[in-house]
Amino acid sequence: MLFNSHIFIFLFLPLTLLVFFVLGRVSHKLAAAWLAAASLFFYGWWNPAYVALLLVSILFNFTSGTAIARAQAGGETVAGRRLLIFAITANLCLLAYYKYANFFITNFNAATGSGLSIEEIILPLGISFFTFTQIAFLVDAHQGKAREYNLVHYSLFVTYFPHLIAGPILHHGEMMPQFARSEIYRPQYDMIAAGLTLFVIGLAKKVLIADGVAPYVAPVFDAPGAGITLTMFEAWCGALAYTFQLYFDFSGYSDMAIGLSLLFGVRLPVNFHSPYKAASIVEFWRRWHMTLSRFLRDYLYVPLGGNRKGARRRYFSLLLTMLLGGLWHGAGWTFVLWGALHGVYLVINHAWRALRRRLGHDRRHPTRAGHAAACLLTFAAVVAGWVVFRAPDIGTAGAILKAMAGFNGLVLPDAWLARSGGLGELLIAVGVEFGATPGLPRTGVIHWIWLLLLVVWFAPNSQQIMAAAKPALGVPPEPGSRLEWRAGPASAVLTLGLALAVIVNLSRHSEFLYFQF
Amino acid sequence: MTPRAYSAWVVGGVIAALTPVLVLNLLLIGNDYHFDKNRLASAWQQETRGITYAPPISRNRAFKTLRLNDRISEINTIVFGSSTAMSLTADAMPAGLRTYNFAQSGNSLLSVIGEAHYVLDQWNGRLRLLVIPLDWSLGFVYQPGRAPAADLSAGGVATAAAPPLGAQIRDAMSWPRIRDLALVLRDIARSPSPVVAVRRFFSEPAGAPYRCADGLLARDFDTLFRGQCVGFRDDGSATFADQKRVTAGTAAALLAQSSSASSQYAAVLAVADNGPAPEILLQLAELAAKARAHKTEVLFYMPPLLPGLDVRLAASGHSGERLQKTKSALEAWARQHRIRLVDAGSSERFGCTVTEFIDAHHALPGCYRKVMTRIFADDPLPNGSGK
Repeated sequence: MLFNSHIFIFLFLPLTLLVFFVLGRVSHKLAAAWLAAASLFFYGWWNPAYVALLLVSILFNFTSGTAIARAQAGGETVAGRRLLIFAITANLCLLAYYKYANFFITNFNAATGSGLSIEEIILPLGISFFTFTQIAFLVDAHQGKAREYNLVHYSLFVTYFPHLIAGPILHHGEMMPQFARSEIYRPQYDMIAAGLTLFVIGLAKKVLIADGVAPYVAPVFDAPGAGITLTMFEAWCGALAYTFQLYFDFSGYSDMAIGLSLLFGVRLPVNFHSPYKAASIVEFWRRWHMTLSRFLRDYLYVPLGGNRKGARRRYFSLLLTMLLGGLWHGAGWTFVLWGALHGVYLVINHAWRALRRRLGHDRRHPTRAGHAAACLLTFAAVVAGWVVFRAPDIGTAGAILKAMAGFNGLVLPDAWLARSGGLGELLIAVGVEFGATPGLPRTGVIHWIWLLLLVVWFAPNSQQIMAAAKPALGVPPEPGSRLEWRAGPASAVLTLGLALAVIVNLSRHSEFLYFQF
Repeated sequence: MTPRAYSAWVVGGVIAALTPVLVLNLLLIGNDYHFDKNRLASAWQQETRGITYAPPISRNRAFKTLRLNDRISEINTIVFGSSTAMSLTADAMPAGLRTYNFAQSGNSLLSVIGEAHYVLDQWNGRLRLLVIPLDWSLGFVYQPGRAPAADLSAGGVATAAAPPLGAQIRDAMSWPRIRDLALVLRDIARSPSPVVAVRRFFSEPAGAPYRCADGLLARDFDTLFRGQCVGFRDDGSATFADQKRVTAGTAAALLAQSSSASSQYAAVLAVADNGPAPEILLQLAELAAKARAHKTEVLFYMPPLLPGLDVRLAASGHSGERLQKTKSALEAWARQHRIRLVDAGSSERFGCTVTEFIDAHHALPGCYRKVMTRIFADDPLPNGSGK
């Protein structure tokens, strides 16, 4: 079931919410069980067969986690460690089978010329998310950070429908205490008002913006495969269109998840914080898919040594972490390359910082121009990364990046020449070429691009707008926004208008990009 | 405002705004499926010879099939094709040819081949001429594949089945439906008798018959475009009354845009770099041979384009060579198979003007009249009298 579908908005959500609060009056345990069951139904809507897989995964990890905790508490640290390794391996094997088996066999066949084959495996929705969430639980149990072991609450923690399919990736420690609070089992209207608003904002980001800009992406990314040589303008338009599609799609989903959870009185961790405002790649990863960054930092980078074992080890850890982070996104060489690219970016970023520190530069007070240049450079690096991330293969990514770098010249759509009058003539006089742009059959993308650049660079993000309601956990401290939301008549009218605009556009609903990861 | 009141206002507002929209649109959707509008509209046209269509206007195969069956005993010429041929009226054809325009929206050349085989098989000896457009501008001549078999019998026209309720609800709340509902409500508000208008829109299959400016009777079975004489005449030609016309003021920009390298025509030619699909040419030649055996002529033509467009595209660096390749291939094919092929692309050669178009590739009846007059003046059909 999709958050942006009629059945979810008009049937599943109101019914789940209503029954949850009614049962909450009778028994908190019953209400939590209802929410877990409704979440399983939500998951099963896509493919009921995989509900069993999810349940087995939950039972296995809950049993393992409690056994690990018991072993640790009883001083049996070796047994606890062995159990932890076994449980994590089992989780990774499950993920490897469903997500990477076909990829591995294809590459093995290509390398050895063998003809191994397995039947096509359908990737269970959200497997990367619920596996990582539970690996974090196992590690937390081993480290004694997971304190509550209640199967109903644990099942709810894993299956909780607002986060189940595409995150945020949760920590046991930040969710279980919330499920234990008695207030969440009765309507909290301040949270409901904020949640409703945030859900509508997220829905608008997805339905109006991400789906609006989406049609401009495929023609550019499909063009090299169709033998079309892209020029600089087409390649940049396609790359930027995808840059915005991915951000508004995934951050819209995250806003919806956080908003939905607020309706139930539960706060989820923040997942996006204006990532395209980042002035460095290090900062970008503190703003983009923040719960994945947190997971990779806490459960991969730090155990690999983090920054405690010298610069070389640190850079190696960064590269390996990002490489695996790339592979987490999908079984394909483009994802591996994208991860490696960001690993290299991070290494360069850290090396640059170290150099500046040695030179005695003050990084904390950059000039405006310096900050703007850093933002632009970071943004360009991220866009180049998204090209690799989105391209169907490395050859296509290379072709698009080559065009973006200007190797195929700059050609503006000649349809513009007919409309631009004197300006067109002027541009021709200074050497600008007008001609066919087959990778960009519709040139309206240019309006999306400038408008969305203004939004991502200068507008407050949804967490800043909703700051008064404190809708999410772990929001970085930022100065308040002039557009800060308050439950008042004006914001009610705006939210209502936005909700109606979104609902009438729901009929073209599409899946969220991060469902595939 | 308390958070509780805020939440109630937002949720209540959504419910209050959407409930009437949902109910009214479900009534309109239900109305479309409650009545078999294709048969009702077809029967009404057969009786009155007026202008009508069955909704939606863009899916007209069922209505036109019923009309073809009704008209087949009266006619000896059928025009096939897609919307580019829809303006061709019966009076554009020479005396002796009694024409029904069977062109349908988005109908590919492969479908046309199947339809033409059907009419030759079923109505052998009744037809004198089949008119088939070879529409390169929509890419139809480049489509490979086998022509699907067509069933154009009246009995083969299925009554449209209502979609599941879930799909109807989604449709009822979609933006196009809401926009159309707003137009319906506007029409009701403007009506001299709103109560009667409400009844006609929501519970009856059609509005009241009315007269168009040319004196023809019209009746609207759709809830859109009421009173605008939109639809098909008795000869099957479209009025295109809902479409804007190209004006002298807008023609230059349209011409520049349509002949640019990023136009849809250049895009079609770019994809079809190897010229028309050999399979489709072979099937067309087989069709022409079969028609000849049935003593039926076939006129193939390249549809008229906005005056100046064909010449500009032919002279362009981006598409000129490709267009020439297509035309040369079609002419060689016509010569080889002794097929009657007319290139009407340069419509200005036939005396068409820009105001006789609704866009760069949809000519209006005035232009088609000039084109057909010239074609048959230059090369009349053998045996001037009709069958």
